[in-house]
Amino acid sequence: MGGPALGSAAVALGLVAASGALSCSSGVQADTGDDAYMHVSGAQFFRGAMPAGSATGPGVVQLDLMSNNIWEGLANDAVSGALAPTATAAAIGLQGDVGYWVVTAGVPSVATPGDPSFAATAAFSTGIVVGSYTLVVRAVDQAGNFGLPKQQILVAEPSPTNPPATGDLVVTLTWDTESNLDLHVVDPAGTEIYSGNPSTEPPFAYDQPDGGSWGYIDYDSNANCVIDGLRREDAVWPHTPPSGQYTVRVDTPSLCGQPIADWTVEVVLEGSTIAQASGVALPADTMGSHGLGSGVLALTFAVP
Amino acid sequence: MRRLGLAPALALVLGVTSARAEDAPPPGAPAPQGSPAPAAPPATDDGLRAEVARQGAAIEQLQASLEVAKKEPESHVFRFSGFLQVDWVIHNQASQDEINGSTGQPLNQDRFTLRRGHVRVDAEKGLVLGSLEIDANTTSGPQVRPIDAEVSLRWPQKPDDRLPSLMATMGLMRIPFGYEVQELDYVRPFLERATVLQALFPGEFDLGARFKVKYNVLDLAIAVMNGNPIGNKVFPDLDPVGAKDLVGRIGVDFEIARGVRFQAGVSGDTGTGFHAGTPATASQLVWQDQNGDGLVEPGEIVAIGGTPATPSQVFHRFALGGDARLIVRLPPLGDLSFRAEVIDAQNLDRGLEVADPVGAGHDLREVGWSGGATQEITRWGMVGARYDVYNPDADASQQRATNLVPVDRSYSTFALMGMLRYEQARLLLEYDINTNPLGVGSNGAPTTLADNALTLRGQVVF
Repeated sequence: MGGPALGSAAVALGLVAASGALSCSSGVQADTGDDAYMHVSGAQFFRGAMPAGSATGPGVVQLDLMSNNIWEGLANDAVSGALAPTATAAAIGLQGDVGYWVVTAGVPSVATPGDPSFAATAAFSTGIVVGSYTLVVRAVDQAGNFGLPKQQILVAEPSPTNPPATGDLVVTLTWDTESNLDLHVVDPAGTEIYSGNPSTEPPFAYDQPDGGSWGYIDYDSNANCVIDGLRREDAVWPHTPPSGQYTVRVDTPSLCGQPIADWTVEVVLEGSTIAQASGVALPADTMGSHGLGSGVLALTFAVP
Repeated sequence: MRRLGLAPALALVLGVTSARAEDAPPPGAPAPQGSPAPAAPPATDDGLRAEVARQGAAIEQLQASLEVAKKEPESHVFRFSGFLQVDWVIHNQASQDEINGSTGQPLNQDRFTLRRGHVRVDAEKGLVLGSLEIDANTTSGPQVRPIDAEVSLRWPQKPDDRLPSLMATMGLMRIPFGYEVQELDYVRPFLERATVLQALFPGEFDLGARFKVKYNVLDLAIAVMNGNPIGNKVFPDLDPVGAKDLVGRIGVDFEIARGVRFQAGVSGDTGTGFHAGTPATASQLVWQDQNGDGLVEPGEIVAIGGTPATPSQVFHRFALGGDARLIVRLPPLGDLSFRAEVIDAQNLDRGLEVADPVGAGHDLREVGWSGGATQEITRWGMVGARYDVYNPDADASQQRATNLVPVDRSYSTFALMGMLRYEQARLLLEYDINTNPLGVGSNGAPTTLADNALTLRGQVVF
């Protein structure tokens, strides 16, 4: 009885193997390219190096960039231009990236009548570091032939929207999901700074010769679950911080619908990391009050 | 689903009685009153005659009991049944260990899934029937929902070949269109229905009222329905339009020759679709951080003018379909079955690329067909193949560089299936070779986004 059944299974598996071999020859692979330095909205991602192309392929007539300056997290960077008349698509990528993107060519623009246009919106990942990158654009014709590239140097610089905090003492809280976490730091005098009391600055601090040894919270990220994407808060003492013992706590007013949030606290004193801690914010941490004295203990450290 | 009705129950009782009659009683024991006499081995012609007479009397007694049972007034009959389908997607080319940014759902497809877990209760008394079926699945996370809920009036109460069988039904029921839409999930030899049916009749069930007539080889079903099946992407099981959809199928089912059965039908669906209007919006100023520096600069403030409200609109939609099935009995292997279905529709896609001719600016012509064959390998196995094609917009075009070119937006699936069967259980392995227009080739033209899948399904019916 089992013979025919096993036979049928073998036939099916044989068909499967044959069809699998046949099916790998066409189409493109599903790949979101989330690990690429550059992302292009609405474009098809191709993993691997962009084909070299040749002079027989269509060329790029014009390449327009909103700016040659980029930084980590930059979004809405417009890339556009015009292609040779035989082109049907444009391939766009950063040299050395894990892949490139293809956008379909559109109707000619007013500035370049007769030449197909292309337009894309690029974004740059947090993996972008300060330095130079080369943007490569090639035109592609109907037969899939790539032309010679048009290149543009992009200069990556520190992000103007989220510059690293500077000061003699910086306590930084970062987390990984779009939740609302708050940094609490208690200074040696027992004063606690957090989003509800964002500064220990005394009255008339500007009258003091060194500006005073006071600290402040620079930003309340994802406050009230209005997601800003920064997921970072710093407690900064711009000038010499008071000597003594400091206590750092992490409070979780809301996880904003996220299951958990992994957080990290880092303490940098005069440019050197002197303490670090990490933990997980859980739904249980959102219970109770979220004001003065709240939060879980992350670490304590001493300033000589 | 296997159901224990009155007739099988009587057969079971009779079978048990008969089996008991065959048991040899102890020597010398008196024959129990009201039951057949013990069957001692006859030694002579007289003995044989006596034995035949005894068995004849026993048969007459059983027939009399059966007639009495048939005449007894029927009480409530409840039947519980169900089935379970668990899938293991061994490999899917579209699978990625990523999240869909717009939906927040995982893109990984290589997983175990409770595809369907159905529990059903049927009740009947006299001419009235009721059914309730609940579906539990984890296709898009845990979900429990009613899938079938019907109340029916039938005539005659007992099927009689000399009379037409009539049934009127209201509730949540299968849409009477084509063959595969009405094919039971646990009977269908392939994992899922053809793409065209998943697009035009998503979920296969809709709310409405249906009238069925079955007489001799003829089978007619006609229904008035909401037109928003349970799997609708927009307003599932609701109805934003007062007008109802009219759906129906007329078919035949007969034996061409000994061991050769033919089924065929034509179906139609005509109804009204809905295009949602928009509320009025106020004028506003929007900051577009064009250079991404986080600073508001001249030229980055954009005025967006207000828009007046637009009313909702309705549009006509329809489908025409034909289906055929040929079943040839090939002993000792089993049935060889061929199936084919073709549908021509307009503005009816409700599950894949939802048709909205108001938004698209033109009517969306949908065309789809499927053809397949299965061969039973004794009662232990089955193999089969099916090819189906669906084009959600036969008039689609794309601006590619300086030219507006027609594009083929077809989806197709070539399914290869092998199945092992044991009693009410199945183990099914299927490889689907899928093509679609969802990718973009290096030349900018639509191409297939790799989506082939190998799936193992375990199924049990209870």
